[in-house]
Amino acid sequence: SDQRPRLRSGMSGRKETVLDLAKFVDKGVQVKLTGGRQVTGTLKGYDQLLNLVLDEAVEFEREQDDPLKLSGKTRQLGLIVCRGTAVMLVSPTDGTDEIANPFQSDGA
Amino acid sequence: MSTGGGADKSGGGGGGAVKTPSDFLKSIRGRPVVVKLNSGVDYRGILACLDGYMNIAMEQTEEYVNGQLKNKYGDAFIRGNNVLYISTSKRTLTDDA
Repeated sequence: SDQRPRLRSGMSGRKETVLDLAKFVDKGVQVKLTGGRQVTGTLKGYDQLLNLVLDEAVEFEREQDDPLKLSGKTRQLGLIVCRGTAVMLVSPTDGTDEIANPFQSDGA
Repeated sequence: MSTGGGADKSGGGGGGAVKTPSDFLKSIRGRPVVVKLNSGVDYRGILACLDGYMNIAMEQTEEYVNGQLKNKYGDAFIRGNNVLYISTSKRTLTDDA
């Protein structure tokens, strides 16, 4: 018989996700999206699929010929929803914030 | 006849013990790792935690594009579907507690 993958049953039995974005609500975040788009804004909401609601969102546009290079131009987007499936990376714009790590190990 | 899933639990230092990917992922928490995404970008940092979808939380994260450091993030969350691989600098897992 085909057993269910252990990775899922062992690690995601709870509905909570490892990405605790509650700490970043009403704070500035930067989001990288698949395909290379990059957006910053104030995180207003999120769900378990990592759909994000950003306010005062700004898109950083890229060079025409090099999608990995930012052109320096920006677009004001206002209130937006980032679809979770397109989210690659989320990071607080204030890099000094430290998350309480429940899995902290002594060897770290 | 089912292969013993329980064998994974008992297997510690015993010779012939099989390490599952799940065991590997548990063992690398708190360690410096390299995460490569489908886009080819590398993220290097301390692996804070990860879940069953391979969503990743990292600290002291550095972003490398084509081997060049591009960005630094104090914290970074990576959505698991983008992950191509996770790597540590260790060659073996023999030093795991």
